[in-house]
Amino acid sequence: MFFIPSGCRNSASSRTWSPARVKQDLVPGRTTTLRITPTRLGDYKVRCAEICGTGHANMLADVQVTSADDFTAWVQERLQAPVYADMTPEERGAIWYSDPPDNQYRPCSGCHSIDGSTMSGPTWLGLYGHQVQLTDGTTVTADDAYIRESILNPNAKIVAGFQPDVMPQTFGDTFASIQADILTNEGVEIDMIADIIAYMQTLQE
Amino acid sequence: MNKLSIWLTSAYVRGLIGQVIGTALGIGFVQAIRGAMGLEYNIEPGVVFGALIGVLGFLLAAGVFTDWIKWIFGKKTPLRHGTPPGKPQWSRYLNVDFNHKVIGIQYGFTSVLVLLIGGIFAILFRIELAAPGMQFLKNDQYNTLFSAHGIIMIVSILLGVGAMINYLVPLMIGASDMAFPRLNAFSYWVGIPAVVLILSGMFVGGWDTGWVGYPPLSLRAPLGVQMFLLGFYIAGFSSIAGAINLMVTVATMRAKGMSLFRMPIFVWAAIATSIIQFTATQTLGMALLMVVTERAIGLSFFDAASGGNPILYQHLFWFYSHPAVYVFVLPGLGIISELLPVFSRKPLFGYKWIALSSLGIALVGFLVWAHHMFVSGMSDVLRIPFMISTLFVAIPTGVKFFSWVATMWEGKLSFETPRLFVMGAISVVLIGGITGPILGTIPTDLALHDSYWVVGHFHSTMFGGFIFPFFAAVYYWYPKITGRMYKESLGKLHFWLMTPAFWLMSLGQMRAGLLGMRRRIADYDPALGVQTTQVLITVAALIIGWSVLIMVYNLISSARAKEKAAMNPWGSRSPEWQIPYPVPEFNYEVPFEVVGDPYDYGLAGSKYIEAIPIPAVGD
Repeated sequence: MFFIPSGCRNSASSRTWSPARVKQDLVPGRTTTLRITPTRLGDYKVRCAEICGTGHANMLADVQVTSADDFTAWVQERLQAPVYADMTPEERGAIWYSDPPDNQYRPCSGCHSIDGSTMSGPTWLGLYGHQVQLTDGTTVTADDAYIRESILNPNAKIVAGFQPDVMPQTFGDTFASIQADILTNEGVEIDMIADIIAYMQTLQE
Repeated sequence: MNKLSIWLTSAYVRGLIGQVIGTALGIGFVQAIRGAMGLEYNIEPGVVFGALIGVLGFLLAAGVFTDWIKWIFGKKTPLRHGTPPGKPQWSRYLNVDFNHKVIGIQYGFTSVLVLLIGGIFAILFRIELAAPGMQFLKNDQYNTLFSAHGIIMIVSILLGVGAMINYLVPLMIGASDMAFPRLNAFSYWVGIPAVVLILSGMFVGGWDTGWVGYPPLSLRAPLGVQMFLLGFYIAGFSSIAGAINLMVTVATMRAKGMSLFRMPIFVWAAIATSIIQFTATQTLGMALLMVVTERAIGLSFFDAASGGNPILYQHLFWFYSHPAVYVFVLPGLGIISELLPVFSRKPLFGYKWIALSSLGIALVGFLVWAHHMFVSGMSDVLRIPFMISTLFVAIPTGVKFFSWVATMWEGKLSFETPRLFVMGAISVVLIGGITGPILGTIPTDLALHDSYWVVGHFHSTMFGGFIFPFFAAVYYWYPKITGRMYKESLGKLHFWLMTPAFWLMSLGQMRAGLLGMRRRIADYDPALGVQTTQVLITVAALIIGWSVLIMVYNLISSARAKEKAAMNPWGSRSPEWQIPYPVPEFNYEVPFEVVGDPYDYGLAGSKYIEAIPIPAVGD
C-alpha cells in the first residue's frame, strides 16, 4: 500500500503525482480520494504537480510499495505507541526526522535528505560540525547553536543555493506542543531539537 | 512639430503619465484614510485602488473619454476623421483615432510588441531550463517569468485578434467603419494600461501562480499577483466592448445584397469570437475580482479555513478560460478559410458548413470547461459528461479541416508566403488538435495533467490557431495596408526557420511530458532523462525568436520601398482588394452590391460584387 503524505504545505493546493502517473489534488477544506492498484514493489517518488510556490520544482516525497504482509507488519509496528523515554536521543531524532507523531508536522525528510542528494533544503549527510556557506557570503560552522537556530528561525541564515521562505516557521511551536504531550503522557522532558542534533551527528560521511 | 515632440505628446506618453499620477493619487487616498482610521500599515488595498484609478487616469489623459465627457456636458462632438491639421499622417497611429483601420493597425503593432516582450521572458527561462540545476535565475524569478509569459502572450493574442477583426470586418462587409468608433478606440486603448499593470507586477515582488492564479496560492503570493489580476481584469473590458461593436456592425452595416451566407468567411469567425467574448469574459472578471478583494479587504471566497472553497475559483476561471481559447483560434481558423480559396483558385468547399462550424465550436466550447479540473477534487461523476462534450469539439473542428482539404483538392496551388503560413498553421493546429482528446479523456489526463505534454498541446494550438494565421494575415494584407510588397525571400526565410523549429519545440515538449516532466517547474531531476529534449526545445525557441525578428525587419524595411504594390496582387475577389491604396477614409467611395457568392474562383462569368452606379445629377 502507499504512504501518501498528508498535510502537504497548507499554503497551497498540491497535486500528488505518483509513479503510476496518476494525479489527484489535495485541496484545503475537503477530502479527496485516489484509488490505485500497484503491481510492482519498490521505492518511488511522489512529486507535486500543481504550482505551489517557490519550492514547487523540489516538492517531492518517498513512496514505498510493499507486500501485503510487510504492510500489515508495518501497521502493527506503528500501532504500538512508542515509549520515547526509553529511547536514545539518536533514536528519537530519527523518528522526528521522518515520522512525526500523528503527522503533526511535515517531516524533515520531505526537504532534507540523509544520503547527500539535494532537495528543497540542504542534505544532513556530513552536515554536523562542518563549514556551511551562506547566501550572504559568510561561512559558519554547523554546530548545535546553528542547528537550533535553523529550526526555530529558518530565515535567519540561508545556505547558499537555497531559498528563504520555504522552510516552515512554525517548528518552535509544534515541537513545544509535542514535548508538552510527551511530558503529560510519560512524565519526561524531551528536547526534540537536541534529539535531532544527536541524530545528525550519526550522519557522517 | 518635430518627431520627438510628436512622440512625447502622443496618447501613449500622456496616458502613461496619467496612469502614474492616477495610481499615486489612488494609493495616497487610501493610505490617508487608513491613517486617519488608525489602521496598521498595509500597502495592498491602496495599491489595488491606485491601480484602478491609474487606469482611469491613463484613459482620461490619453483622450479616450474626451468626447463622452463633452456629451455629459451637452456639447456636440463631430466624429473627427482624417489627419489632425498641422500634423503628419503617421501621428494618427500614436493618438486616439476613431478610424477602424488606424485602430486595427494600432492593435497590430501593440500585439507584435507584446509578443516580443513575452518571447523574451520565454527565452530567459528556456535558457535556464536547458540544464538541470539553477544557473542564473532564482526560483521565484523563474516562476514570475513563466507566469508573466503566459498572461502576456494571451494579451498579445487578444490584441492580434482585435487587429484582424477591426481592420478587416468593416472592409469585408462594405461598411465605412465600425458601428461605434469611439467605443472601438476605447477597446484598444484600455488594453495599454492593462499591459502596464501586468508588467509592473514583475517589479513589486512578482508572482508564482502561473497565468491561472489559483487560490490558495494566489491568496498568499507577493504583491505582484494583484497587478496581474487587475491587469487581466481590465483587459476584459477590451474584449467585451469590442465584441459588442462587432456584433452590431455585422448586424446592421452590411452592404446591399450581402446576406449572411454571402459574407466573407472571416466575418463568421469574427461573429463566433465576439459571441464568446461577450458572454464568457464576465465570469473571469468575477473570479479575478474575488481573489483581489479576498486579499485586499479580507473576504472569504476561497480560503478553506474561513469557509471558502478553492474549487469555486477553478470553475469560475475555466468557464471563461476554456471558451477563451476558442476566441484565440477562431479568427485564425477563419483566416485559413479566407486565404485558401485565393491561393487554390477554387471555391471554398462547404462554405455554409464552415460558417456554422465556427458557431458550433463557440457553442460546444462553453460546455467543456471542467476538463481542466479532472484532478481537482471535483465530483468524480460529473467528469464524465465533460469528457464527452470535450471530445465533441472535434466535430465542428473536423468540419473545417476536411473542408480545407477539399478546397485545395485539384486546385491551382501557389505558395507565396501567406499561403506557406496557412499550410504551416494547418499542420501545427492539427498536431495540437490531435493531442487534445488525449487530455480530454479522463484516464489519460490523470497521467498527463500539468505535465509538459499539456505545454506542447497548447503551444501547438495557439501557434497553429493564432500565430501562424496572424502572420499569414499580416503578410497577405500588407500590400493593402502599406501599398508596398514585403520581401518574399525574407518571408520564405521566416517560414522555413519558424516551422521546423516549431515542430521540434512541440514534439519535444510532448516527449518531455511523456517522460514524466511536470510543468511550471524551475528545475528538473536529471534522472528523468529529459535534458537533451530541453536543450532542443531551447534551441528551437531561439530559432523561432530570430525568425520573428526577421519578419519585423522585413515589414518595417519594406514599408519604405519605392516600388508600389499592385492593387490586387493576390487576385482576390474580396471587396477590400477592389479599392486602391491608400484606402480612403470611409473605405468605399462607390458603394457596392453583392451579386454572387464570395468564393466562386474559376467559375466562368461569376461575380461577387458590383459597384452601384451613382445616379447622375438630374436623373
